[in-house]
Amino acid sequence: MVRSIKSTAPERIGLFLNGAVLILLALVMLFPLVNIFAISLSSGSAAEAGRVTVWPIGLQLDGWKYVFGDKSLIRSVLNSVYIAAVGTVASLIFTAIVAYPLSKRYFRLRGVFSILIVATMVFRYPLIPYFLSVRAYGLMNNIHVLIFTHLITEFNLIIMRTFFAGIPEELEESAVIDGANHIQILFRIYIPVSRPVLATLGLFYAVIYWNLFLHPLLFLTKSELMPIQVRLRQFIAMSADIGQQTGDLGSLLDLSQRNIEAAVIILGTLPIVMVYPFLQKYFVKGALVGAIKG
Amino acid sequence: MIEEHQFVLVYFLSVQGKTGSCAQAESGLSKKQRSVTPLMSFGREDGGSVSKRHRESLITNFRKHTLLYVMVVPCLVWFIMFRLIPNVGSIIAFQDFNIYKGVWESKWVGFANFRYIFGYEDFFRILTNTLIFGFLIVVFGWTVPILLALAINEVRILRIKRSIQTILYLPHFLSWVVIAGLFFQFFGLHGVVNSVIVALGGEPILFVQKQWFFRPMIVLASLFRDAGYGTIVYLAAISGIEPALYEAACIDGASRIQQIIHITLPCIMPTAIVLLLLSIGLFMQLGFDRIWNFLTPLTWSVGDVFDTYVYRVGIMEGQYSITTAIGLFQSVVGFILVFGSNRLTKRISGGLW
Repeated sequence: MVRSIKSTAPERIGLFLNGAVLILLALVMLFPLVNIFAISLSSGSAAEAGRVTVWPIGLQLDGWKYVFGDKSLIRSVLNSVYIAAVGTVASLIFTAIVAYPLSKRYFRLRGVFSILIVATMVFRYPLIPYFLSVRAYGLMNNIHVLIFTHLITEFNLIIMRTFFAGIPEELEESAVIDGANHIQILFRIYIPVSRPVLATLGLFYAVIYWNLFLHPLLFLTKSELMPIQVRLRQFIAMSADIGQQTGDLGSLLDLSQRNIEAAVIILGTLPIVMVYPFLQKYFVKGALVGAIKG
Repeated sequence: MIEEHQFVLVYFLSVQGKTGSCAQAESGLSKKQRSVTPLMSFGREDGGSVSKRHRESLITNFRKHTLLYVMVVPCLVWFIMFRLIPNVGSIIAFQDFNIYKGVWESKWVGFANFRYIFGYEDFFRILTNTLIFGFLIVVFGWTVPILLALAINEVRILRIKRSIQTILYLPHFLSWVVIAGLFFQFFGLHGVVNSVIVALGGEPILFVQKQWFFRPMIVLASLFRDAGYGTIVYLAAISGIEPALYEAACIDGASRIQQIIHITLPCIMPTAIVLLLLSIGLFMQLGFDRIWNFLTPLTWSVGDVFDTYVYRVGIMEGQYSITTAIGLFQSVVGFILVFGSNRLTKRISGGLW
């Protein structure tokens, strides 16, 4: 951007300070995550004494060994992975199938659907009737309830149909001449050309599924069905309620509750941090692509 | 629950092409902006005249495009099951609902549940808490992203700018459980903050568990999670500003600060006002996760909001009718707020529908 050709000295100082403050802010934001990672790798006594900052003190892997030895914890991670993987695919297919007719201007029920969607978004259903009706469907303690309830997110639906509406009609017309029906057009033409928006929405759906917390609390009571976020909350609540982390977990090991909690927090974050670089590449780009309106 | 990141995305879409010229911002509400199509109108926006001329009956349309109608059936079933029936189920707020008798057999009590909650001490406590949190989050959640975006925009070295953005967006994708975990560790008895306090000769403070610090902690956590992400909209708006405006200002000898105040800020104002109005519309929807994960028995009195109260008393203690009445109250107020703010938003830009 061509702004001022020459900056005055105070302006240059101001720019430098501005940059410095922002870099500092970014470091401060990153610090808790780095700190927690360091704690998970530190010795229990160092963690309890609060001496760990960015680098592990008394490096050990026992905290992580404990976590990976905890079968119910691993089970909850697998539950979350399953929900996120299956749920994302199911949501994308479901959303695409509905977004397609809604993107067609010759589809007469568009208006009705628009009212339905906006109305349910503006008037939020109260929690209790929602809970009672989903329970009445017999979905209690069925892990798939987490997927069924999140098949569509209204905003994702709107973004997808906006994108579909921007696809040139000629593509559809030529396919119709070749004898294709709407389902074939959707899966053979629309979905392949919509990769950027599918990637964006897929990653958003995956984040929703991975981070689910209230729904498992409502609809799952068996501990073996719990996703990682709920297990993580149990770990945190245990120490948060009494105000400090206590308890010797192994008499021979130098391991504290704090190490384990830190490791579980990292476990609850890791997939997101891992996909984040791809996520970032797409979510700004995908948003821009979605802005092309029909 | 509405995910805010999707809201941001929608704003992002809706601001595209509306912030191009600053003349709009300076002349207040331009007519051109008012004609922008609302984002969620499905039927009306494209070629109204065309569809009127070729208007065919529903039956003809159905015969011609049967498959399209089949394709929306799953969605329709889903909406009825997970959106419509729960809404209709709100009628148990007017009943003395008994889980064994069900909706059909339970006794109707009219507005008795509402009279009960409005005369109830707990109700005003959670209403006050909800309003305080809503107010704090609207105020800080609105101003901080604007300031951050202005600051990020002034970073000249592209690589540093990108790195800062990468880090600031990241916490938005973490769950509230993880964020609460980070806060409990960071501000806990042996956390980094208290280590510093002790090293300086002070007494350690349990920030998250202290009543006095609870609200600031929630605000801080909300900013940690969402302030960076909120800058996306503004940075997009800023990048759409005509460079000629800055060039002209430079020739006139405007300093950098003057350029920010007289060009950048007025140009992003329409976007900012839309965001403000919509966030006021979402005032009541704090979200369960955000508060619940920070709550400890020590902070219930200052932290309990509608969402957490309904969960605790409704789901855990089974007082369905009372908590449905509270939920219905929340939905109605939320509806009025969203509806009202949309009306106002429409004057500035397309609005949501």
